[in-house]
Amino acid sequence: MPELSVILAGLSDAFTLTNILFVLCGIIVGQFVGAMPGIGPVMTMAIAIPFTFVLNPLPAIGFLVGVNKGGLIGGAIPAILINTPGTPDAAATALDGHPLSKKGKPLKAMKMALFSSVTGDTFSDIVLICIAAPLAVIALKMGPVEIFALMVFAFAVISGLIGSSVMKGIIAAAFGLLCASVGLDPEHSTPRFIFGFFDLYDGFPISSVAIGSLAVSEIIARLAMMRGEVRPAVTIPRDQPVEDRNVSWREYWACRFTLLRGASIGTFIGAIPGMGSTAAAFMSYASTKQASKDPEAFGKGDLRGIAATESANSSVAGADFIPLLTLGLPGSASAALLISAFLVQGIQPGPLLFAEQGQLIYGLFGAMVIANICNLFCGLFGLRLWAKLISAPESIVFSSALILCVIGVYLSTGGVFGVYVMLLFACIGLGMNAMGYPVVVFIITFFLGPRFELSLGQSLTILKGDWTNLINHPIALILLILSVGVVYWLGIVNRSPEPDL
Amino acid sequence: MNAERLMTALLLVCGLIFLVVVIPAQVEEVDYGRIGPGTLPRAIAIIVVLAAGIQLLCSRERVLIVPLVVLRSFVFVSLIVVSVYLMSLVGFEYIAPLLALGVMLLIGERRWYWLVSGCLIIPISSWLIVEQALNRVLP
Repeated sequence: MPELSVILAGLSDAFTLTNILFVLCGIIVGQFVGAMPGIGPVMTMAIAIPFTFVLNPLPAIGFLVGVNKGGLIGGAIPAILINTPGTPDAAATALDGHPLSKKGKPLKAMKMALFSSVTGDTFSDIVLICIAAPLAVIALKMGPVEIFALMVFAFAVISGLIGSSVMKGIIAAAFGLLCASVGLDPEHSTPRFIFGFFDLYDGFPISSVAIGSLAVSEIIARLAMMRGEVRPAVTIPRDQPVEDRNVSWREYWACRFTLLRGASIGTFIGAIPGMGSTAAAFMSYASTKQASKDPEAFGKGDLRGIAATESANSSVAGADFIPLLTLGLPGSASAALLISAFLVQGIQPGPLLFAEQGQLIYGLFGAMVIANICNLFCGLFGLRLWAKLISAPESIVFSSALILCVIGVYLSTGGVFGVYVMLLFACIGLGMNAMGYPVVVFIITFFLGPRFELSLGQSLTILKGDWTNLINHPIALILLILSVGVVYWLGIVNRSPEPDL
Repeated sequence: MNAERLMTALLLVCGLIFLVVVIPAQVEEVDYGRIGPGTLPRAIAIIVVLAAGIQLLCSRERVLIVPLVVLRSFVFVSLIVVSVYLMSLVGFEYIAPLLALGVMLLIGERRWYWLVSGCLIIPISSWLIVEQALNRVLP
């Protein structure tokens, strides 16, 4: 466990003016892009990562955390106002948010979403701050064999949970590991899959792969489907009675159990790699409806519906950090992008972080608390403005995003080659999305590939090349058996019946 | 055979080609150490072949491929590739506004004020900030 002086030094780093400004900028950018259907926080984080290279680690990661948290609130705005979620996890918010908006209370619905989101987010951050360090201490007791087995288990879980079929998840995971093996072999430093391109000696640039497969592929897919349609302008009436535009303390307090349930579900699901905030939002909504005395009120503009979904999907943001910081395993696209931000700053996420970079980690925790406060105030003052952004022309938004991707990758890789790699991975991402192969799984395994190969080599050395020696590592053995069980259960037993062709 | 199975079959063939042709040609083998440079790629290629084989045999999924969307995606990718190539020859500040204009026209934007602002604001402001203010080089 870090000493108190390290914790206080980290928190003092977080509360510097520079850091607060970067977190605030991240929140504003996140809410801004979240409010635009089509550009979510993941795409924005991918575009922003190369621009954070020049920053110190804490402002850089604080900014990205701000974008992620702000995007969760921004995504609810179009879901409520035009029934078009800005982010996938806001889809459940539309179930009650949009009917409430149609009843003439759009501001009330958005404020409830804002308060619930901040409540859920703060809850999960507190859980993260309390349990991350003790978990990291336990994780430090694991050797390379256990870490290798844990990575296999995580890959099995995310392959099974993300995407339409477990086999596609496995193929995507394998493809990520294959792409990560391009460049110099970590053990012998011999070149692999260079194909005559000397730029590939260091492997595929992280920013090119992340931006290409997550941002550019999505931009091109949206551009290919767009035919000059213009979204309707949204106006929020100004002369409404107070009870129609504000959420009273009584209304908020009446939702306390819903908020607590949503936040708990979101935190639990966020801590499991691969589950994601969309699942958390729908599970929380379903359980709240089931537990309610009047379930027929849901879907007609019930504040509890908004509270349930927003508290759950936002609490995933903090809980995502639990496997990321304690084990170095990202469980979602945004966590994978944060891991890439750590890597480009020269920091290896994992249990050693608390011992080696304790000050940075507690600075990050401080930044997360600041982000929640900024989220609340930016949301309160910016809701009307973000609502106007819904009708912003997509033509400008997407062409600008495309140019920012080119600039970001060029600056981070230092040449046009990185931009071509980005375009290659954009095509791969397009193909994977079209065929139902989960790009998020690919990205996660790509980032973890070098570490995976390293722990495989270390494990084989410890096991003296004989896998039967695994019997001396019961935890690793259990994890590997569980991996097989997870693939079997998610791939065969739990497969939903579909019509045969 | 539908698109889903066709693509899975293609993936299986690619996995086999990788295993038989690409890995022996592109990975330099060494005879020391517990894990050779080709160990992990070979294991991964085998996993891909096996998973694609199972997927091919058991898949009940159907994917919808819209030819027009594929064609439009190809057009956008080609436009970006050509633009990046031209940027490296002519310069970012000349080609980026044209790229933005091309993208906006292709998606059906016809309002002149948005076209002008779209092809000027981000490309030119990025160029001014990165090249002129920060003194970093753009293509």
